[in-house]
Amino acid sequence: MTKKDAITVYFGGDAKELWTGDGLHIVYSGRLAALARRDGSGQWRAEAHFPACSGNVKPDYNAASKEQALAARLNTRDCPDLTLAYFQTAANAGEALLSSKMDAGALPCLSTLNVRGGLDALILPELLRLLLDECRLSWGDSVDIISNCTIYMAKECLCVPLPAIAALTPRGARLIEAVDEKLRGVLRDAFPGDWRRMESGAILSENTVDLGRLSAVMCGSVICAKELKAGNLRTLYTVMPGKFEEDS
Amino acid sequence: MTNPILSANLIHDAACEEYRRPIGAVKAKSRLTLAFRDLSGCIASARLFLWGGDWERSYDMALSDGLFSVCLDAPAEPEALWYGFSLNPGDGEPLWLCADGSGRFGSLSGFRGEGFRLTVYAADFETPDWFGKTVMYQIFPDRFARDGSETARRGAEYHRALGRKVKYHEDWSEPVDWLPNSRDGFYFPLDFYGGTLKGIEDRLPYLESLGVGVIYLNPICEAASNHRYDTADYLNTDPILGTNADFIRLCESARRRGIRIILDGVFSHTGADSVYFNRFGRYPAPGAYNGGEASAFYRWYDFRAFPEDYRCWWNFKNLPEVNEEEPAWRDFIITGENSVIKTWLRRGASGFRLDVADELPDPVLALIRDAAKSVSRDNVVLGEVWEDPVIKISYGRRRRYALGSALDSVMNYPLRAALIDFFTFRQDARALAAFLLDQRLNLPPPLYRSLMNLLSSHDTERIRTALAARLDARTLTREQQAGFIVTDKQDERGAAMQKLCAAVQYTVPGVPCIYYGDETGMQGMLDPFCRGPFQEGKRPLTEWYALLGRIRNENDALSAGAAAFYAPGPDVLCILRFIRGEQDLFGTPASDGAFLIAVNRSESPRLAVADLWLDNAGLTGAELAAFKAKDPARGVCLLTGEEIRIDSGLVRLSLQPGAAHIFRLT
Repeated sequence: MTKKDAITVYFGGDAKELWTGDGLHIVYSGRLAALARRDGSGQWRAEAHFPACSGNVKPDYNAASKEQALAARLNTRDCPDLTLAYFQTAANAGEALLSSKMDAGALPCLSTLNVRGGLDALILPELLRLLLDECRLSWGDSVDIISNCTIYMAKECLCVPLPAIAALTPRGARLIEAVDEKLRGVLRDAFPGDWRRMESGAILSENTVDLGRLSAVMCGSVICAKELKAGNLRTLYTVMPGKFEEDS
Repeated sequence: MTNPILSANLIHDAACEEYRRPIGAVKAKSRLTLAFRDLSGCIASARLFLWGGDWERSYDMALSDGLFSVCLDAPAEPEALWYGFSLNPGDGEPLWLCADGSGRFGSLSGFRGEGFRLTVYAADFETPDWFGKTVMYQIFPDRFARDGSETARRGAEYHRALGRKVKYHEDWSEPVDWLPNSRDGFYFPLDFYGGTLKGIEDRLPYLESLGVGVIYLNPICEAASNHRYDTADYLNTDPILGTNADFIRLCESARRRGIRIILDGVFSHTGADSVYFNRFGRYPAPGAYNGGEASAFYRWYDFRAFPEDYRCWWNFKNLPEVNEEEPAWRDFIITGENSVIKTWLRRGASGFRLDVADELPDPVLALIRDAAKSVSRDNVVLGEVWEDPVIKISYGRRRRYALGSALDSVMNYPLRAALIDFFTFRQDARALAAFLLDQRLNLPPPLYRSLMNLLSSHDTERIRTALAARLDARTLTREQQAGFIVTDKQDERGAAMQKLCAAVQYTVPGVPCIYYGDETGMQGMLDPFCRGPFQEGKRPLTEWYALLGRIRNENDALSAGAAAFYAPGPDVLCILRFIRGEQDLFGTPASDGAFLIAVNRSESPRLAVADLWLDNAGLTGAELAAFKAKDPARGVCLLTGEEIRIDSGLVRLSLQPGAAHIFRLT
């Protein structure tokens, strides 16, 4: 994950699930890496994983070159907001885990992450990915850890196309789908047969991710205005009221 | 864009006006729209199939903006119907959108499955307004209250003089008899405690304090047994209970307190030991058995081989069944100017509960209705039916007695079962809410508002016992029932659940009925243990029932308002009742009001959010609009004084273990 205190953030490629005698492993291919390192002002700066060498004809030359270009674009912000947000949130997630010395169980004691429901919510699937795939925790433990160290300070409920997320982090997109599937199970229990009602609370709709609902489902508590409770988060409020802080 | 053809992409909701207008049962010949939405975009054409018992029709459906719909007129004949949608995907196999397990939503399959129910009822079906708004109290007359007179003892002597065996319990607190006491080795209910009509009259102030508006008396006509379902003389009060004059006086006294009396009509059979059958020759005039064809009553009965082989109720030889097609029987019981039914109504009764209504033919039930209504439109005809009365099949025929031609009301045993299942943790709140919605959608509204919502009766174990013991009494032998001990801990639990159960009973549509002694916490397994003499149990709930009765009687919305049911969690049931526009669903003037009832069956606190605006299946669009227009912002519990806030139709409820609330919404 790290190279001299930097966080490695991976972009794109493909992620395949491989079941072995040792459990589920994720096999990645074709992804690009960027090293995230905080600068003097605390902002994340990107570095290429390997410096590109002119005239280098090794097979990974193209990848290294692409990583150089990616790092440059990230640092000059010459990339979509989603890409930039993913880089920063993934770096934040890696840093949070690093601060616990990879003892994921200690994470809730060390960090409380506030999520606003915008692109910053991308930290949630990335944290889940790290806990599941890097720390090799169970789904239940991973979800609990994230729940215990995150608060959704709801300011917005941004929707993002799932393919756009999948292009950045295919594994992250798959995990969002998994969270949505489990949520739909809860909704099915609450509103059996009522597909519209279920849909009104789901994270994924027409291949779009509602990051607000993703945050509400994955964060341990939700602090939001009553307009959101009565609006986009209405169904989740009725299904999991314990997460929602009572209005003062 | 097309989506896969999945149940999720083909929407029909029988509780939503977008798909079915009107929702619920419909009047015969009324206009009806049925529809489903195709989100898949793959359905080329569709047909509605509508079917009854022995017929089927289909209708082309029109497509507009993804909605396939068809308008039709409901059939002219009241009937239980079903419908489903046949779908043509164009390039694939035909599909069916039929009812899912709940009967409310659509489920896609390659064959015709269960249809959605559609109840068509008589356009002129009316039930007495007073009845739907009252509280009922069921009394087993021998076991409710003695008076200070010798009436009962004299009555016992009367029976003994006829040659009958009678045991009189000197001590009111003695347990009921249950051991075999007859030559054939069976138990015969011949033990009497001496409760009288005068005793009931003396307790009218007590019943009034409970908010009772109608008393249902188990049979009072002269009979050999203590339950008197073996009628010996239809026209006379059993002497142990008193006289016909006592009955008239009871009715008059009750009426002065705003309480009416309805009687148990046992018309499918008589006692063998009766004026009419006279098997033992105890009555002077010849009966069918001892007089044969010379008897005026011979043709009432069906003798396969005279005199010993005759048709009898469930093969009980002491209960010969009558032939309801016999004009003389009809004249005597129903249609004659001085028929049994008219006589008792003129004496002051306000209706009949018809014993084993399933076993009376529909035309006979219709005649009984006509007879009762001819005395007063306000008289009630209530049937003993144990199952869903709209789709009940008995003796190979689907019955139509609940569709306007016969019964005003039925005993709502299905509700009892659903409540017990919920409060004994066999089912969760969602199942209960679905059941309540099912009744809302499938029962004719006039009958629905008049359902006799009972928790116990003379034929079931008492509600306290059911909730305390959490077992099915039918699985126990009579010996086991007699020896069954409800522990103090169980009784405590039973009492806690009974409070909640009663709160629901008093706030769902229908007429709550207290079986005598339930309010005092009496225990009792099945007959005869559920028929003990009235007494106080360990944990009486008399004040609770009185409070519920008062709240219900003071607020029209709780008895006659629109209703919706929610299950915001497995342990939490919510009910919304309201009236807007100062008239109830039937156009009767009524006071506006809105109430949210919430119960938590759990032994732990429960946090729940009820969405009054979205989870309101069962409300019409107009009802919901009227409710939202008032936009209630707070509620105060009439039971505890606790307050709640409502924001945009969302109510956050922090419910203590075993809590029951009736919030008045303002």
